[in-house]
Amino acid sequence: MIGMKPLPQEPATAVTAANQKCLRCHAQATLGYRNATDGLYVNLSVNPDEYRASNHGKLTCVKCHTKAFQTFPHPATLRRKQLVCLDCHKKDRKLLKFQFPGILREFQASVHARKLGNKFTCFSCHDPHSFKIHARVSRRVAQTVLYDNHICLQCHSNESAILLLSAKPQPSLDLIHAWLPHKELHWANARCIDCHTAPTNTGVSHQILPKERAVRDCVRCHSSNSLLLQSLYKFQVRQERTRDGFLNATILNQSYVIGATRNYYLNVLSFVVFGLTVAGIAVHAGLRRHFGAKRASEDEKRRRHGHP
Amino acid sequence: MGIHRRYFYPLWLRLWHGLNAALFLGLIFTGLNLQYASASAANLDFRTSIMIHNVCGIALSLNYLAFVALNAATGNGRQYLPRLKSIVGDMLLQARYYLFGIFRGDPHPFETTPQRKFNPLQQVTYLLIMYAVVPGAIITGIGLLVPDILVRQVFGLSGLTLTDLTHTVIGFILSLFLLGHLYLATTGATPTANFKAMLTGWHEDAHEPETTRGTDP
Ligand code: HEC
Ligand code: HEC
Ligand code: HEC
Ligand code: HEC
Ligand code: HEC
Ligand code: HEC
Ligand code: HEC
Repeated sequence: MIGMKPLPQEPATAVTAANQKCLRCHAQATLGYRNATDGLYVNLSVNPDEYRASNHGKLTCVKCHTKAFQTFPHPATLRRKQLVCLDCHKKDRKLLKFQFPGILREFQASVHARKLGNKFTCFSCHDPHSFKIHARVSRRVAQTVLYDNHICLQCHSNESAILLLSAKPQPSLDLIHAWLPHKELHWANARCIDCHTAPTNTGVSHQILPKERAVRDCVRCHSSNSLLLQSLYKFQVRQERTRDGFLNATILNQSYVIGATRNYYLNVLSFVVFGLTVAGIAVHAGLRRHFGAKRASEDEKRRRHGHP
Repeated sequence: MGIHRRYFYPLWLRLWHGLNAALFLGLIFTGLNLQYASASAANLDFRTSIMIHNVCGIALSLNYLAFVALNAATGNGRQYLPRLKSIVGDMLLQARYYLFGIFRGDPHPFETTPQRKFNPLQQVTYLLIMYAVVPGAIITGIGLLVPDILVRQVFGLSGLTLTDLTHTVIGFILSLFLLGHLYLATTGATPTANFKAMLTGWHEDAHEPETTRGTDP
């Protein structure tokens, strides 16, 4: 098997102390400068709380930035190393479940990587100082949706962020998705990636498809084999299955997707009640017919025997 | 023995009833289509279903308002009020008729007259359906039409889930009501008499001479 060596970690207090040296300056929300060549603002501030809460909160800053940053003023020759998640995550067994190699392949096949080349990296979406997995661990689907959509909206609701990468101006999201009713509701309950990625085996599909291949058919979500079960609710469904073998409870607790939300018991109950009603009516109608016919023949008999 | 004809249902009532029935069917059909939506071709397109469902729902709500207003204005609303004093006994009597008497060819226990068109069971059922269940469907329906007005969380359930679930259950109850309503409508003088009455306004009943009443051999 691959990946024997766990990534080295330092004790938490030591990390905090070491990072405090950098955060003394970099926690300032206003730390930044305007780039002389392109006039764009470079934000140099790191939010310490977000950083600590992030998946990398236990790492020292210099794990990713070289030790040379420990001196200030930082040496002018320091250039930021282009880091990729897999530089560190190729081999850690603890993290195998995330399938980093698979994600990398999907990323490379995504529209972003294809169109924008190496201007677009894992860190374009995953803020190195606040990234935190949600879908896999969160019980609150709405929070996952908010977090994941925010990732896309960093650029797709921010014209200057787009222009930094592409000369092609993007139409407004509301305009592009005008065909989708209840947009606010959908933005809050379904993710961009649920419609915009190809289904894959990794925990979160990273293969953003060209827009022509995005999901537009309502029934892909609004039906009993909703694609949401394979994407947004993937982890919930797995948890539910292992916990009590019943698939729909979590989903029912958080969301009602017409066509997709089926409470098993309610469904059975409704069929039974409906069936009994129909059966009751059929029996009643049958009896009416039967006794009606009998009465008619008795009447007939009586009339033939001369009774009124 | 003669057929007795009386004018029961004024034009406005028949128009309301016809429209209500048509919208009801439209809502049940599209509602089922949404609840059991699937990618199979047999289904009406999801978006079309939603559109039709919305239009029918709004029309039914307006029709309902007209119904309430005209009921108040014409006094027809009184038809729905059971005699409270004897309500339980009356309902049992009517239930017994449906369970036994009807097979023996007994006469209806409560004669229908233009002043009292509904039997006690009908009164109570219609009262509940028209003044509790249908308003429930309308209110939850409006909630789903403009979800922004809904309470977000109720006891840990999303307000939308609760509203949706209530709406679905109500839709189901109303479908059952429709089945029963259609069936019991066949228990008139002839199986089609009540349907004709609802179209023409004229109610026919087999008017039997007083003497043979209740003296079956
Ligand atoms: C005394 C304040 C101060 C301290 C302490 C400090 N920095 Fe900085 N840092 C700055 C300033 C100001 C800049 C922007 C000017 C520059 O690039 O020198 C900056 C720039 C940076 C940059 C961006 C370089 C680029 O790409 O433009 C990085 C990365 C960085 N610091 C990392 C660190 C790390 C890691 C530490 C701790 C080991 C640290 N800094 C400690 C003030 C500080
Ligand atoms: C997991 C690796 C990692 C860790 C740990 C990390 N950084 Fe970074 N940092 C990066 C990467 C990658 C970038 C470049 C981001 C980009 O390309 O937008 C970056 C950029 C920066 C920048 C420049 C911002 C910019 O937009 O150019 C500063 C300042 C910085 N980091 C400070 C810190 C400080 C302070 C810490 C510790 C509290 C820290 N970093 C910890 C990976 C890391
Ligand atoms: C400099 C090396 C380095 C880089 C680059 C890096 N990581 Fe990590 N990452 C780590 C270490 C070390 C841990 C273990 C932290 C721990 O166990 O608390 C970790 C942990 C994680 C975890 C596991 C969190 C958990 O609690 O299970 C995830 C997910 C993760 N990283 C994602 C990423 C992603 C995504 C990227 C790229 C955007 C990335 N990492 C880049 C070093 C790195
Ligand atoms: C287009 C934006 C985007 C890019 C680029 C991107 N990711 Fe992600 N990634 C996401 C989103 C959105 C999530 C879902 C976060 C969540 O809810 O856990 C995610 C989740 C993850 C997870 C957690 C998956 C799990 O199973 O829990 C890992 C690991 C990860 N990304 C690694 C990477 C790596 C490695 C790269 C670069 C090869 C990368 N990401 C590039 C958007 C992106
Ligand atoms: C760092 C900025 C950035 C982030 C974050 C980002 N995108 Fe993009 N995206 C772009 C840019 C720039 C383009 C335009 C590429 C071009 O056509 O030149 C684009 C294009 C697209 C397109 C259109 C592809 C086509 O066929 O034309 C889709 C769809 C898309 N992004 C979806 C997403 C989704 C979903 C996310 C979140 C998971 C996301 N993007 C996150 C910058 C970003
Ligand atoms: C219900 C499915 C669905 C959801 C959810 C969704 N999209 Fe889309 N999106 C589409 C479809 C379908 C298109 C193609 C529209 C077209 O070509 O007319 C599209 C087009 C796009 C484009 C291409 C714009 C262009 O024409 O260049 C971008 C960018 C995009 N979406 C971003 C997002 C972002 C960001 C989110 C999350 C906030 C999101 N989408 C959520 C279905 C969806
Ligand atoms: C990516 C999956 C997805 C797609 C595609 C999608 N929806 Fe939805 N839809 C949802 C989710 C999730 C909700 C919100 C459920 C909730 O709030 O609990 C929703 C809610 C709705 C609602 C409000 C439902 C209610 O409970 O009142 C309507 C109406 C709706 N969608 C119609 C459509 C139509 C029409 C389309 C096709 C044009 C469509 N949806 C496509 C996922 C989707």
